[in-house]
Amino acid sequence: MTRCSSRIAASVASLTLVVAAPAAACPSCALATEVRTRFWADDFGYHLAVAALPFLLILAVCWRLERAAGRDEVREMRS
Amino acid sequence: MISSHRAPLISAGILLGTGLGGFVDGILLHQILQWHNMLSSVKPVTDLVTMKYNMLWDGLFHAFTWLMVSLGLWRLWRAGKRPDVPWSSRTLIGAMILGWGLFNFIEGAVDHQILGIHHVHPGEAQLAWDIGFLVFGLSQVAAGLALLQLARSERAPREAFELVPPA
Repeated sequence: MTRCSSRIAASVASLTLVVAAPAAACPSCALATEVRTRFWADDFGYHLAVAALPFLLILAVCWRLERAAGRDEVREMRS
Repeated sequence: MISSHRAPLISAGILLGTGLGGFVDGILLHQILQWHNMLSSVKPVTDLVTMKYNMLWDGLFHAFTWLMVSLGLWRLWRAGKRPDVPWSSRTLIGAMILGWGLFNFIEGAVDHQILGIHHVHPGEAQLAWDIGFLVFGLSQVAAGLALLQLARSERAPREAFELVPPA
């Protein structure tokens, strides 16, 4: 039990080091922060909607296609 | 043109074609050739910040294409479980070409022509490139529909094969 918990503690410590060390020494962190700030500030919702629009339109086509097919099948089963 | 039993396979093919076509666009035009990025006409790449900004939006674009491929696989898996769906390669490939063409046409019309958030090959001849992209998309739609039309005769449901007793 003690051995197991010490292994878990060692794993957590090494994981913390792995995550924290590059963040502390990150040469382009300021740059990344600036990019992220711009990303959220510059009409994020609008650009996201624009990027998603072609995909949403095609999803709508497929949804209508499957819905129409489902209706046909029900009609076929009833007749 | 689309019988109700083929619809699940066609729907899966359209989603797969859209996702894989989007990956062609993202990998070939955004990354390998570096002709444009998702928002390169809104935020032209002039320094490292604008480059990373566009990379972030390219990442979101790829996330959407990944979602479409995943949805397509899920629909294909569901279609595969239905014995009444004719398992036709022509239907699947035709639907995939149709999906890719639909994506190119819609993305070209919305992003390049109407909103102008990026262009295929920015520069003096960008309009020609954009129109060429639309024509390519439309020709893919036509080819996909033609292949689906050809596959209409392949209606044998799989249960017909499964009923054959083993030798």
